[in-house]
This record gives sequence, structure tokens and C-alpha cells, in this order.
Amino acid sequence: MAGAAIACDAISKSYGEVRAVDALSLTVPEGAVCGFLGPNGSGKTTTIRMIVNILMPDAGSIRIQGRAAGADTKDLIGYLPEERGLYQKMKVGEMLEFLAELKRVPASEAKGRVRRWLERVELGAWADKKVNDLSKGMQQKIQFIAAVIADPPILILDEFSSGLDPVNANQLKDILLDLRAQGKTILFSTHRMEEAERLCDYVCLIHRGRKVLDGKLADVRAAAGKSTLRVSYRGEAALLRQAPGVLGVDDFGNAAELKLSPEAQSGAGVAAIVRFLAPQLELTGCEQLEPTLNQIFLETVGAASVTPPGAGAGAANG
Amino acid sequence: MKILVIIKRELLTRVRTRGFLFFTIGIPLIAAGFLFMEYKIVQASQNVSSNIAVVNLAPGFYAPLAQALGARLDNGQPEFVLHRVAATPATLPAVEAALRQQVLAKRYDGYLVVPAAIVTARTAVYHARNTAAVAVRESLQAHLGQAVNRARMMRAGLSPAQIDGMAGGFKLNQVKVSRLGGEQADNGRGAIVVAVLVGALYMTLLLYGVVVMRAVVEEKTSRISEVLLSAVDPFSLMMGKILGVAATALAQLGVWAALLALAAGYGLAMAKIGGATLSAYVPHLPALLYISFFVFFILGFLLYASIYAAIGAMVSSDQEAQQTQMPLTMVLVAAIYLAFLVMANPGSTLSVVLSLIPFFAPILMVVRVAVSHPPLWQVLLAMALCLATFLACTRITAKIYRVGILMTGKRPTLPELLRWLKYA
Repeated sequence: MAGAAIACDAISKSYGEVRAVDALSLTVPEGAVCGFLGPNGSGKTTTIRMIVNILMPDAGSIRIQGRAAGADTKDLIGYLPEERGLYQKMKVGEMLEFLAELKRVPASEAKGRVRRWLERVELGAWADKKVNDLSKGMQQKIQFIAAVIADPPILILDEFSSGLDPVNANQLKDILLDLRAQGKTILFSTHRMEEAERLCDYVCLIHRGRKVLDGKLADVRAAAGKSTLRVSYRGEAALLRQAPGVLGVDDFGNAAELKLSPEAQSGAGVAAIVRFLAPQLELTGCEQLEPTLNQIFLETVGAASVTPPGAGAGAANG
Repeated sequence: MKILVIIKRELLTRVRTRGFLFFTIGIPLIAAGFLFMEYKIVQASQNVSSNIAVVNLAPGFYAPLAQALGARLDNGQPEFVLHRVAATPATLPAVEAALRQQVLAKRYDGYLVVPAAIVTARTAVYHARNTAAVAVRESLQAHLGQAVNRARMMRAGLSPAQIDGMAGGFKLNQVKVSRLGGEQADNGRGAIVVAVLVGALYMTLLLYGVVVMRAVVEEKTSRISEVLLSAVDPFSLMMGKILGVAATALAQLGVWAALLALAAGYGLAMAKIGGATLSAYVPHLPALLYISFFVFFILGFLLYASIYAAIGAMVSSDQEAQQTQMPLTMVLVAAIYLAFLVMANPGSTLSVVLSLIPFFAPILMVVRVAVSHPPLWQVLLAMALCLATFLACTRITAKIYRVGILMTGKRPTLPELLRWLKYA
């Protein structure tokens, strides 16, 4: 697909008997911030490792900015793995320069970049310290710099905020927003829905290795429907049940939440309800509510158990 | 080239450690220091004249004895300073008692009692304060022996001129019979060079192979592998590590070779001043030996290190790695044991076959080249087999590496390992 930063076409990956990822298709447009959501063990990390070309899909194909994923496309992606890892015995500055050079940043330029990034995250004074002299929070920030140091057009962050204290999380979030403003494509996995809700404009939801939902966050929410209509009213409550498309009523006396049928969730449907109620009741307020991503997630995954599919696949913990 | 970035990091981070500096420069310096101290001690003891009282009971023997003991030390001082003490068999006990006191008082280092019948009995007694000074005793024995022999020949009726004509040392020269080229003089130093070369091979294959393994385990346990693999393909990462460590090993060997050459050069210069010829000190070894040493060093290292790397990728801790690497280490140890066999009988069928086996070739073929002259085709075949095995091995080890590097938890069993090979 033209214009897609990342395009996975029906990719699958099995570990022995366990299908970690099952015919997953995923498209992330250029410049999008895409939340990759799913419970633990749903195949997020396996999918990401295939996109970064650390693992090969058993079937299906992956294109990065239109090129088949391979050794060449690795330079297009900055990757923050879920399992954080740094050379503990190296000096912070030298290690970041090494990682930059590994992504083809010229040695002459790497030094300056590392210095600027370290200053940006307020670790400028630590360049000559060994990595294992740093606190865990500081190492997290170093790990983040490692992902962005080569200035790649695509960033893939696996559970990027896990283990960060609120101050540092906020600092990195600001940097992320800045990178998004620069037009970077960002794919980040998380199981924290409210985080995805705040940052993403695209979401992809997977469960048991299969995609259950994807698209623009706004569309997803719209598709999930504004299934709740909250009305403030004075009058006969029994009338509420008779309104067209109302499946159920949760009445609080002078306000009630109406559960809408899918057809009734459109503007026209709501208008019809209002038209039906207005002559007979005194309506003082009317608000159609979108479900949270968390509600959507729970509803989509539904009654299905959220335990990971089969145990024992060592690498399938994403 | 990303592999160069990896090689550079491996080399720089290793060469800059204190441990590397210590092993590379410190150990030779310490060894040289010990040798120098020993040399100084020996020299100091050799350059001191021994003060000896001589009780001569053999009539007319003092003059030849004094002549025989007239040797001079390197610094021009006489080796022995003799003090003639008169005595008769009757006064001997009293004289000896007095001398004993004087030796203890350090007036003399010792006293020599020459019996009346020394020429026929061929024995004398040297009483010394320090009986550990072996050089003094041996020198006394040799020179007294000469004096006694001379006296016996005189008695047999030979003239001093005849005796001088008969005297003189004897030297056995050894010549190595070889198929290639002419015969070359072998002064026995070749065996030492072979031991040094094979020792260097064994040590670097084993020690630096383990360095590669531990580096892989470290990257695995610190979980930086995933970051690295997001930038390079696993084969480049593995080869970069192996070549980087090989470069480190070569740097170390290079420094050692340079230091050795320096020491040898200094020794040669000293020998030249002393009038010795070059050939007496430089072992005559064929150029093929040095070439095959270098080629087999590289090939052997690549072969063993790639397997060590795969072992590193299979395990999750240093302890597990230690256990898992045992079989490979045993192969190397076996090669060293077989080296003695091959050295004793380098041309036998068994030696030829063993030296062609890729895992043994780096050591055994070098031994054969050093002690005999194997046909060139055998050397080249061994190299080709070694290279082919390495290439075949890396296909497998790179797969194990690729899968293992992301695995945590328990060590894979053999069937699991085979499955890795399938889905890598």
C-alpha cells in the first residue's frame, strides 16, 4: 500500500505448536501514531520483532516504506524493546555512539548527537559514567535515546512507558509528541488503554495472535458506536423505554442512561429519540457518550478468556 | 559496513581494559624481569673470586694445580685466589682445625686438601662454607681433573707439547634430513619454537574462544542483543564479535611477538659482541611453518569461536556455558595430547589422518610442518577442509545464534536444538 510506513500482510509466526501470530495484517500510514494494543501474550512483541526483522514470519510479507523488510530496512526503524538492555560496562556516551554508528550515523556526527540528546533528557553530566552507575530510570532514558539517536523515520516502542516514574514518563511523552510533529511514524505497544487513548491517532487491537480491530482511533470509537445516551429529564420515566431504538434504560430519577441499538446511534437515530421524547417530557440535557478504549477493548475481546494462548512459548510474551 | 563498527567496539573495549594491558605487557615484563634477575644473580655469583686455602700434600703438584686454576672471570678477576698453606700428614689435623676456624671467620671461602696420591687416587676434598655454590665446585672439579690428567700423561712419558696437541673439546653437530631443499643445520632450538607456537595456538583458541562465548552470554543476559539485532543481521553480529575478538588476540600476539623479537635482537647483538655466529642462535624453521601457523591460527580461531558463539547463544548464564562448552574444550585438549603422538611419528598414516581432521588440523598440521616436511598438498588439503568445515559450521551456528539469542530460560535439549535449525 502506497504511503504506508509499515504494511504487514497476513503474517503468521508459530513456535512449535503455538501460533503466536495468526494471519495478521496491519497498516500504519506515514506520520501516524499507532497504538498496538492487546493483553499480555497476545503476540504484540512477536509481531514487532517481525517488523524490525529480528524474526522472520513463517508466512505473509512485511513492507517498510514500500520496501520488503530485511537487513536494509533496519535503518529506517528505531526500536525500543520491551526487554530493556544496555552494555552495562560501557560508558554511556561511547555506547550511544556505537549504537548510532551501527545505524549508519557517521562517527564524526554521532558524538554531537549523543551530547545533544543527553542534554535534552538532563543526563549531560553522565556521558563518561558507566551505564551500570546509572539509576534504573536514567537507564530507561538512555534506552530511549538509543532508539531515536539515528533519527529514523519510524519508531517502534514496545511498552515504552513501563517502569518510568511520572516525571520521566512525561518528559519522554513530550519528546514523543515533538517527534510526531516532525512527521515520524510511531508504533507503540501498550496494554494501558488510557495511554493509547491520549497519544494515538490509530489503533490496532490484537488478541491471541489475531487482529480484532484496527483503524483511526476516532473511527474505531465511532464504529464501536456512541451506544449510551444520557438524558436529563422531568416527566414519566416509562416513556423512555418506548423511544425508538432504545434497548434498555438505567434510570436515576431525573437522569437516565439509555442503551441504544446500533441503528439508533446515528445522528438521525438520536434525533428521532429526541423528537419522540421532546413533546411528552421536559428534556433538560442530552449527551451521547463514546465508550472508552478500555470498554471497546473489553467488549471486543468480549467474554473470550484473556489468558495467553498456550504456555511454554518462551519468546511469545508480547 | 556495520560489521566494522562491531569489530571496532569489540577491539577497543577489550584492548582498553586493565586485564588486557596486564596480560599483554605486564606478563612479558614480569617474565623478562625474573629472567633478568636470575641472570644478574648468576652473573653476580660467577663474577666473585673464590678465596681458597690449598693444603697440598702431593709433592710437585702445586704448580700445575695453580696453573690449572688460573682461569679468569668475565670481569678479568681471577676465578680462584689461592693461598698456599704448608702441612705434612702429621700436622694436617691441626692445620685443618685452624683453617676451619678461618673459613668460618670468612677469611677463606673454603680450603682444598690435595692428598699425596691425588694423581692415582683421582680425588681431593674441598671444604666449603657454602656447599650450594655448585658453579665453584664444578669448576674446581673440572680444572683439578685437567691437572690430574696432565700429570698422568706426563708420567706416561708424553711431552707437554704432545699433551697440548691432544687436548681440546669436542662438539657434535646435528643436521636435519629433509625432503625439501638441502640439508639444514638444526641446533635443537626448533623444538622450543614449536612448543611456543603450539602453546600460543592452544591458549588463544581456548582462552579467546571462551571470550567470544562469554561476550555472547553477556549480551544475552543484559538483553542488549535485541537492540543490536534491530540494527544488524545476526550473522554480521556474530561474525563481528568473532573477528573483533580475533583482532584482539592478534593484537596481543603481535605485541608478544614484537617483544620477543626485541629480546631476540638484543640477545643476538650481545651474542655478536661475544663472537658467536647468527646461525647458532636463530632456529632454522621453514617459512611454510610460519605461514601455516598464521593460516591455521585464523582458520582454527574462526572454527572454534563460531561454535563457542553458538554455545553462548544456547545458554542463559555463565555457569551453564561452562558446562556446555566442556565437549569442545575436550576436543582441544585431545588435540594437544595427540600433538605429542604426531611429534614422535609425524609421517605415520595415523598422524597424516589426524592432521587432516578439521578440528585437530590447526594444531596437529602445524606440529607436522614444524617437525617434518609433510607434502604441500596435505597442508593445503587440511586448510581447505578446515575452511569448509568453518563455512558449514557457521550456517548452523548462525541459526542457533539467531534463535538462541532471543531465548531465555532453560538450555535447549538436542531435539529442541534441531527444531531451532528448522525455524531460524
